[in-house]
Amino acid sequence: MGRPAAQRRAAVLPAALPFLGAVLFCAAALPCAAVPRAARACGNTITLTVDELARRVTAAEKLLTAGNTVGAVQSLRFALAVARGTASRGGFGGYELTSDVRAQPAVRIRVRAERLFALAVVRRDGLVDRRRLRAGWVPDAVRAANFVWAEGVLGAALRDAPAAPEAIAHHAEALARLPNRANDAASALRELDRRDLMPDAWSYAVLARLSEAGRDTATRDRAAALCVTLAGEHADAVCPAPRGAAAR
Amino acid sequence: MRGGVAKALVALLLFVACERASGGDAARREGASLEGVSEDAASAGGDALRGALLAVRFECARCHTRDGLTPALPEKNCAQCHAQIARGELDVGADAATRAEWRARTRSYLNVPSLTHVGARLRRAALAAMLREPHDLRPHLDETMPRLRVSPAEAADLAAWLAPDAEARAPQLPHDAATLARGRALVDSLGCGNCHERGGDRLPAQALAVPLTPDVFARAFALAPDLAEVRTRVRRDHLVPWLLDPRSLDPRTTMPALLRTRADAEAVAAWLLYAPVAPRALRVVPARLPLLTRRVTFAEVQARVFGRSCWHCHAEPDFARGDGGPGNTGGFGFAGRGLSLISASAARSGARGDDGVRRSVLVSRTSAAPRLVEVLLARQREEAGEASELRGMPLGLRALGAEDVQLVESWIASGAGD
Ligand code: HEC
Ligand code: HEC
Ligand code: HEC
Ligand code: HEC
Repeated sequence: MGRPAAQRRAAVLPAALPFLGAVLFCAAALPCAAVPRAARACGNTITLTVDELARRVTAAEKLLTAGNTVGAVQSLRFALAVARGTASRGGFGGYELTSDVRAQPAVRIRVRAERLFALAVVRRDGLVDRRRLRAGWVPDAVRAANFVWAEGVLGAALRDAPAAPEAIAHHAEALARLPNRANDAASALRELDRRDLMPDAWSYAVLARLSEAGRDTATRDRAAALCVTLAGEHADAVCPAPRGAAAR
Repeated sequence: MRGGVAKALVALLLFVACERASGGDAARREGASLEGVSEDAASAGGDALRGALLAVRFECARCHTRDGLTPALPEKNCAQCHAQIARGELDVGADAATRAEWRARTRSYLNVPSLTHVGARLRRAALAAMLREPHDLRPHLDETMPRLRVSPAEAADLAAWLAPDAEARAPQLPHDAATLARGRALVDSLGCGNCHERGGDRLPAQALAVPLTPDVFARAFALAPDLAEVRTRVRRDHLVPWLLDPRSLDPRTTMPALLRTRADAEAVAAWLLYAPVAPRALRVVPARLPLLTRRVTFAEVQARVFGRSCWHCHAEPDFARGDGGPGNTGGFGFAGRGLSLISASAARSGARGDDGVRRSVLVSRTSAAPRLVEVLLARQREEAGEASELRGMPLGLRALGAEDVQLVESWIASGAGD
């Protein structure tokens, strides 16, 4: 399906004019090799525009929404390294941003990517090696620390946008993983649900699990059903297994 | 950043200073013939200086140019960026395939009238009325002026800024049947119908005596107004001069000078002003189609509707240098409703009401249709001449067809998921 086109459009401009200088400089200074779309080779480094970086982050968002947490972490690994300006070191083939990584548009995308990464950590059950930006098994103590860290990052996002349903729901997903905060998470999600502002299938999945634990079967059933409706073809990856099925 | 703000301020101050100076000139020039001021201009009132400041607040420069008005920044300039794409001049590091795709898709704001000389052609009161209640002025242009949140006093100020000189009283033209018939014959034979229509009247398109390059003709065709509005819109004192030599009033106009003698121009002017107008067939509100019975995904709605008609006004600020567009983070004088349509979860996150409280746009508030559908239907009604309180979407652009509305409605009905 039209994935690539949709992704390209997602990054649609109003942007990037100031980066033109950097791109031209590179193009004029050295012959540009054939590299993937919108990236240009420049000596030993390959440059990427902020727009292209935004496209990568959008792609990671789509993967995460679809329940592909491993894929999301993988694409964020690359995007974050470029956004932080560290991609020229570890095995990323020497990618660099055409603009200063401290410039506003790059910073915005980096912050977005960091928050998305925190959300991916929560949705992957904390099974992420944060330092190496890799999905995989980690000891329980590390998992617990991951949840505390993610709650901090998503809490900061919520402070930036206090009334935004996506920020509220994402923060609630992280809260739900902390000891003794499940009630706070559940009430935040119930409030969104009451106002018809529940953003996605994941938030219904969490509400269903929390209601299960709180023995509120009516809410659990409703939330689980809405999760399936919203997730569509991704329901298996996102929503809790139907009642009676073996626990996953 | 701070430098940019400072520069913009300096530009604004300089501009305001110039405007003040020229306003003074205009007043002095008019002093001699003050009793010639028509009722039209006097009744509209308004303060040109306040108007100049309002033009900055309402960001008119994102779509229009006007000498002395600081152009909008490139990443905010709807008309300039789209024109650059159409000419293949926008290089932001995208590859050739992407650029070709963009070029094929951008069709809005490629022809927007310049505001520099509108005051020489159009009446102040008509300008004020149009700013308050925009409607389709040009049969060959899909876009209309967006319905901005302009109060009557603000509209009068903006109109005074656009048309600082008062209209002089013009003698009534003879308009007996023979004159009108002669006017109509001239209009037919000179080929005004190559560009213009008049209400429901398609004028014949005789070959033009003046050769135009294809580019100039395309722009002139798009920008030619409906001549049915001449009686209310055009300054009486400048109508005949306009017909004789449009460039004497607007050096950059694409309308050619086709009339040779004053007598001919007066006959045509009389026909424009006094001949009965056949009403234009209004667009009808299309019948609503039944909901689709299958599940509709966000990707479909995005590909056909949100990504086509809504995105730059309801965008994601992180991916657009902090500017989520007029419908999200604000612009065109709107505070912004915080509505992003970039993903299903963003669309599900609702919009802020006037009270600042977020509400879902997927449920109904006042009628049977969800808010998101209500605004689409409102735009269809605006096109049929039935504007209501509710601003139609896409703002200032062609209404969606019945099938696209059906798709959006069916997406919502099937749960508004991914
Ligand atoms: C989103 C783009 C947009 C913005 C913002 C905008 N306009 Fe317009 N305007 C248009 C378009 C498109 C037309 C042509 C409409 C038509 O012919 O039906 C137009 C027409 C006009 C006209 C009629 C000119 C003529 O030759 O007929 C005037 C006057 C005008 N605009 C003034 C303003 C002012 C003043 C502002 C700011 C307060 C403004 N516009 C903001 C798009 C815009
Ligand atoms: C920096 C360049 C840029 C700016 C500024 C910009 N656009 Fe666009 N616009 C594009 C591109 C590129 C596309 C085509 C994207 C696609 O379809 O993938 C587009 C497409 C559109 C479309 C759909 C196609 C069409 O022409 O109808 C609309 C509507 C639109 N833009 C509205 C706006 C509005 C309103 C503004 C100002 C608030 C604006 N744009 C500012 C680059 C820009
Ligand atoms: C090549 C296209 C073209 C032709 C032919 C043409 N015009 Fe125009 N006319 C325009 C354009 C474009 C404008 C709007 C001014 C602008 O945008 O520069 C205009 C404006 C006008 C206006 C002012 C109306 C308003 O509402 O602003 C009148 C009156 C007018 N034309 C009459 C005529 C008559 C009469 C003829 C034939 C003798 C004619 N035009 C031939 C393109 C054309
Ligand atoms: C040219 C810019 C522009 C385009 C294009 C546009 N919008 Fe909007 N939209 C706005 C603005 C500005 C507002 C806020 C209006 C207000 O405050 O009254 C808005 C408000 C809305 C609202 C909120 C209404 C409310 O009060 O709750 C909805 C829903 C909406 N738009 C949907 C859409 C959809 C769907 C599309 C595409 C089919 C679209 N818009 C295209 C500018 C735009």
